[in-house]
Amino acid sequence: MKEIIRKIEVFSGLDEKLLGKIADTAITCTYSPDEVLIREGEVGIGMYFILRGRVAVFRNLGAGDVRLGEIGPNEFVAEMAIIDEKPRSASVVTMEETECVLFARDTIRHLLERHPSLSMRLVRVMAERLRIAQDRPSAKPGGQVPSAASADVPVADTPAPEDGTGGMKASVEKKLLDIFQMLYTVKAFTRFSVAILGCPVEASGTDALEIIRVGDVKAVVLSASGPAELTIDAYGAGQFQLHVFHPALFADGSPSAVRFDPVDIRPDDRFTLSLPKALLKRHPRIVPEART
Amino acid sequence: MKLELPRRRTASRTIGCDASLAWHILSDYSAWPEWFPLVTRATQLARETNFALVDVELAPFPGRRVSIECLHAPNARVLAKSLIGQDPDFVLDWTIGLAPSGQTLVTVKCTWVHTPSNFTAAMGALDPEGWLNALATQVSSFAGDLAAGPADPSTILEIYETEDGLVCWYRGNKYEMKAVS
Repeated sequence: MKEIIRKIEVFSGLDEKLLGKIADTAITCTYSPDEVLIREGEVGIGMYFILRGRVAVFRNLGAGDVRLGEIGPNEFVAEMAIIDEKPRSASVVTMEETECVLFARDTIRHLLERHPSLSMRLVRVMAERLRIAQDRPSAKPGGQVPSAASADVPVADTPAPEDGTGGMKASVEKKLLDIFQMLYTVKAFTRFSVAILGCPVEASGTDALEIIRVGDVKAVVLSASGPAELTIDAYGAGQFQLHVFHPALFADGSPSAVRFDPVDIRPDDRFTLSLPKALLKRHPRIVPEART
Repeated sequence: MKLELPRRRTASRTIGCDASLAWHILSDYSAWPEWFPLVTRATQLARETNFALVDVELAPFPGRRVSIECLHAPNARVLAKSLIGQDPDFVLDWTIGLAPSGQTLVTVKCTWVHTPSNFTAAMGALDPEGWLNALATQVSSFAGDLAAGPADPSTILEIYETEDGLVCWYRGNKYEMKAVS
C-alpha cells in the first residue's frame, strides 16, 4: 500500500513515517462495471483515488440524470468530502472494472492540519476541478459532457450562463471562497493567507507562494507567518473584487474572509495589499507623457 | 511527556463460511455488540458505499464513547480506526481471504496505542484470537450448522438437505453427499 500511495502525486515526497500512516488507514477496492461508488445525497465520509478503470459522474436534476463527466486513472473522486461535511452532490458509477484506493476523512484531514504542503497540493486538485467544470458547457438532462467532474464538484451547482461569463466568474469566485473557507475551518490552511482577486487584475510580489488561476479569478497564497505585500495591477476596465483570508483576522477564531467593496478600475491602475492588516492602498495613476 | 506504547497483535482463523457472510457480519457495525467482545455498544452515524462513521463503547471503558471511522471493501477488508485525538487510539484491520476447501481465512490485525490511562484496562481486552472465535460463533448462527457443524459438540451425526444436496456432519467433519450415477 505504501508503494501505491507514494506514486500518488499529492502524496509524493512525503516522509516514510507519514506515508506509513496513510498506508495504514487506506484500503484498495476493486469494483465491477456499473457499481455505485457514491450516491447523491449521502453524507461524504471519504475520498477515492482511481488506480485503474473509469467512473462516470451523474447528477439528478429532476428531469433525469445528467452525466457530468468521467474520471479516470490517477485522479481523485469526491475529494471535497475531506474538507466539507455536505451531502454528495452527485453519484458516481463505474464504467468498467475499476480499482480505487479509499481514504477516510479523518486521517487526511489531520495530515492537512499538520502538513501545509499537502493542503496546497489538495487545493491545486480542487482548483483544477473547478477549472475543468468552468470549461464545461451547460449540462442538459440526458446530455453527455466530455469533461471531468467529481461527486462533490463545486461548480456543478451552477451551469454556465449562456449570455456571457459574468455569472460564471462570480460563481467561480464564490466556490473558491467556499473552498478556502472550508480549508480554514478544518485548520488545514492556517499557515497561509489567501487573497482572492476578481478580475481584471494580476497580482505579483515576492511574498506570493502560489497563484491559483481559475479562469479570470485568482487566488494568491501567501505565508501567514509574517508581514507580506502584494502588488495588484489592473489590465482592463471593470470592477475589482477582493477577499482576503488571514488567520490573524478571524474574529473569535471563526474563519471568514475580509471582503473589500468592489472598486471601479481602469487599465494600469495599481494597488498594494499589505498583510496581516489587510490594508489596500490605491496608487496614483501614472499618466504616460504625450509624445511630441 | 506523552508515554505511548503502540502494540500490534495479529491472529488468523479459518471459518466455515463464504467470504461474503464474514464480510457482512464484520461490516454490520451496529450489530458488533451482539458478537464482538471488545464492543459493548455501537451506533452507526453515517454510512455510504465504502465508508461509515460509528460511535462505539468498548468493554474496557464503560460509559466512554469512542468515534471510529470504517472503510470496507466488499468480501475483502474491513478497517476500523478511532478518530485522531480519541482515547483509546486503535486500528482494527480485518482481512478476508480464501482458505482451502471453500472456507474463509479471516485475519485481524489490531494496532493499539497503550497509554498510562488505558494500559491496564486494555490489556485483557485485546484478544484477537477470542474475537475470531466470537466471529466464528456468529457466522454459525447465520449459516446454521451447515457452516460450523452441530451446536452440541456431543452430536455424532447430523444430516441436512440443502439446495446443493445433502450435507453430513460426522464426528466434527463435514461431508457433502453427491449423487453417484
